[in-house]
Amino acid sequence: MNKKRKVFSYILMILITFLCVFPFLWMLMLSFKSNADIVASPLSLPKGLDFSNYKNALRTLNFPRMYGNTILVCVISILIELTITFLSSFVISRMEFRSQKLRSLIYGYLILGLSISPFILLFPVYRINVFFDLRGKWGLVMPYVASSISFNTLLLTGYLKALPDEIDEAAVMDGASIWDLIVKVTLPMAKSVVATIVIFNVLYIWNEFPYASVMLRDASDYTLSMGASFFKGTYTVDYGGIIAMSVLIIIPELIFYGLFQKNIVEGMTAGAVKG
Amino acid sequence: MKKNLVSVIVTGALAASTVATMTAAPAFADDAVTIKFGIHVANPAEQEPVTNSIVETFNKENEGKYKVEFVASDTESHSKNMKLAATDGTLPEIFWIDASEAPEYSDAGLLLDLSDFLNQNADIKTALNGMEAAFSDDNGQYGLPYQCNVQGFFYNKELFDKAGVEYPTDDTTYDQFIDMIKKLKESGVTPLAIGSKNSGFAMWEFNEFLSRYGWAENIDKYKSGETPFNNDDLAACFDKVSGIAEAGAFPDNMATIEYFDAKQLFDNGSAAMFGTGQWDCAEFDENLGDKVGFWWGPKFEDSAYDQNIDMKVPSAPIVVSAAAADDDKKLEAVYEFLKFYYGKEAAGISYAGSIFPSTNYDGLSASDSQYAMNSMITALGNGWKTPSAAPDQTLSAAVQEQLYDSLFGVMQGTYSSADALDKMDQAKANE
Amino acid sequence: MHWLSKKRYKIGLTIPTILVYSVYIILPILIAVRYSFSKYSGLGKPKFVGWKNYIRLFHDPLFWSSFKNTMIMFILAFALLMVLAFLVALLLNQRLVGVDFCKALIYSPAIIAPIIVGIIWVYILDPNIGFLNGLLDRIGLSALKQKWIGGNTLTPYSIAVIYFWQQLGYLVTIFIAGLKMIPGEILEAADIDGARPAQKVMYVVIPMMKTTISNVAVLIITGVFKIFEIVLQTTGGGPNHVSDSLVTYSYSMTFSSSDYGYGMSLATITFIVSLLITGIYMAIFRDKEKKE
Repeated sequence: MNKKRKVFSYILMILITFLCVFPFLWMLMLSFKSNADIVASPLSLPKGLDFSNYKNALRTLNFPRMYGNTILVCVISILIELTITFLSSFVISRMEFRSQKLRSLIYGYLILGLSISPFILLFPVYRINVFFDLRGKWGLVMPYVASSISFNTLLLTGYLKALPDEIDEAAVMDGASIWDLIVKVTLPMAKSVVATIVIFNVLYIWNEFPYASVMLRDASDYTLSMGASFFKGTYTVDYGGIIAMSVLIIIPELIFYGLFQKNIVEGMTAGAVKG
Repeated sequence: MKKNLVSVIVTGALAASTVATMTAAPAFADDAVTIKFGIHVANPAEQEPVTNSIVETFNKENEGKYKVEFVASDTESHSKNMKLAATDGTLPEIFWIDASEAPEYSDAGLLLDLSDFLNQNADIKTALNGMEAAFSDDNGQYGLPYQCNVQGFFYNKELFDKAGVEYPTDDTTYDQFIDMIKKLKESGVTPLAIGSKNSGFAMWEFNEFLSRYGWAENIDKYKSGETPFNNDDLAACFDKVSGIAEAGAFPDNMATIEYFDAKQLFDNGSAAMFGTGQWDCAEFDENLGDKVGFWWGPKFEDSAYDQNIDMKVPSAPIVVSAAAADDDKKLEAVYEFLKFYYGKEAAGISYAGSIFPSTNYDGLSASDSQYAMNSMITALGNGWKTPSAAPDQTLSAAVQEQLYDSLFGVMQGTYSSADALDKMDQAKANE
Repeated sequence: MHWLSKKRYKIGLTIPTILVYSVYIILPILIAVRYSFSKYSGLGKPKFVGWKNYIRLFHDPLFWSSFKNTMIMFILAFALLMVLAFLVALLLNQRLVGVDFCKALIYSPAIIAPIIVGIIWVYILDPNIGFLNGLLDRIGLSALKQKWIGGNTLTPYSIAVIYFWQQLGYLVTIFIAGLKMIPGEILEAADIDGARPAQKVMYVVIPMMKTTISNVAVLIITGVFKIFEIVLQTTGGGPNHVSDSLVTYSYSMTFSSSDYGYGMSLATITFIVSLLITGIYMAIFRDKEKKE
């Protein structure tokens, strides 16, 4: 690579990175400005490190409860979806089918969901939840589980298919039951894909808004994205507070991203490259 | 290692959320009968302070017996939420609902007939003095007015002085109004603050326009379809609205701001006028003090209809869910709350918070420092007649929605007057 | 394995997934389609009205304008993302100091809740308090000031740009994964043949990356049809629905106007349109692949 091209590449890389990060930096800067300054002189720099916007946001928004709800829904949904999709993917990818058509039919049926937008489902899902008497935050669990099925099936079957058959055979020779085979033999081998799925779904549920906006009516049920929208609706004129709230929601996400960056990138690319 | 990290986080998260849910649950058993009050603002303590303090006072006086809790969200979400709640039987015992939507609820048998309540409480019926008539149909008295609304233009005298513009009066004409807007604009302020994002309903000042072009005289014909909305009267009226826009009255970013942002512009002195109702008086007192004035709006010389019209109308109703009657204790609590809400004490709280209650009791008035409310009382002193309901409150939900859309379309130059009115006719046809 | 592949195991282990999926994904589609043939305000009973909602939809200028907006968003986002994400991937696929760090930063917008993305961009694009117009003022280019959001024309373009920002890092990462799968010998062979870098990309890299490019395309198509929070936060679809996308228009008809029947017919059409575009794309692409 010649030198000129290298310098050019560095400049370009830094410029693009800056442009991508700029909106975050802008937000961070605004969060230290007073409301009046944000409106009257948008371009001015903050006068100092004024944390009153953050204090405001923390005081008016029940962060522990929002985080609690989000985490609760997240953990329950992910436990259910992992269990059921791992089992079904095991069947699809590892078990013998007399008819291969049936196998691809089940697989195709479960994959179909990737192209279905949640918006067509919102109102019907609300009615179905009412029918099962699932309300408030509990009404989010099943839609989240269902929304994850296609993606999980895609990733899990792809991964499990690639595992060597001999392992199962050896286990069966040793007299393993079906449960032993799934839990003690296959699951440990699928650790990395399971981790990817967990992280991916945590992010999905963390950020999900459309379902939350229809299911959640009581402030005590609000998840993070719903809380964010509510806060914006409630304190429309507290621009500083809204910005501070957004920063407070972003930061844990970025930390989470920093911790699991590798898995996140792997998961997202695996889903796309294989799909 | 990877798996360990995941499991540590999952366990930690579970623990954290358990703690969070446990702390969120009320710690003490409460014997009080609790009823829910669905309200159309997300933050009652700040956005409906009067209702909030009425409820607080009631809760305090009835501690251990009855308790009223708000179910609160912004107007659009509230309307969506009540609809969804109606489909699954989780309506709050009492809720605010737009006048255009209430009849639908009533027809679906979801609302309690409050005739019994009024018969048991003759003094309240007297105090309402007919205001409740707007909310009765074949199914009975399905609702009671939440408040009494007085609507029009508030203006900032200081900004008028700076721009060298005279304050508007009862006799200010539309042409003078346009002049006024241009001069205010030149002086560097936004002449008339308004926001359209999620705030179609925030068009109160234009109710007066509609009334002065014969809305009350013709509404029955519009509703029966005898006269289309796209007629000469309303076209002239909409043209006036678009003339205001052309004169540069509105903020540039009206599409990305909401009613609350627009009000902020008026509060902080960057807008000279703001159309709203009595519910914002207290906020104006706080921010603008004696600088605030109130005006009904311009007179239209090309209109054949009566121009001497005030706008003092019943606000949207509060209604009681029919399901509340299934439980005697809840019903008792609801009746007790309504008795308090329409009683003299609550009316006093209203006046103190610059809200006109829907009831009339002797001996209640605003104090001298309630500048905004006093400016309204002065304006009401002309003794002009007032329509029995605000024009936007006389339509079905779909047509009302279209009226809002049409008005804001004209203001933002997306529709011509004819387009805007055609759309109302279409909305009516789609019903 | 054979003797554990018993029918009752297979059924027992797949049934939970199939059940949840059928009840919460497939059944709702059927319900939505059924509602789309009715008039329903949310109270009382839905009234069957046949094709009326669909007829109304074809005569509804707002449907067409939201359709147009969705297409603008789709075409612009598609062009921007396809070309720029690919170029950025080529750039970042070089051995540069700090490239991993930059990749991570470029990727980070994809992690953020879309609702926050919308909020952030209001403060950049708002005509009065946004950064962009402020900057133009500051550098003496006030004449270029625009209503980036909330005017009558520019909103869908701005939404596409916001979406581009949000998705760039994600797609760059996928492209890089694709680039890494190209065997090194092929590129070396091209170098020996004396191919210039641009030629190498055109005639070697792109043909080798067909599958990745196709997957990215499908991701963009399905993604654009899910843009919701960004529109909601920037303009709420206003003024007068002129910046609504199909999805937000359907949401607003269903939940704000309580016209559930009409809203569901819009949702159904949106769903069909996105399926159609995906289908057409796949058909063209597959066809080409076969010919070669």
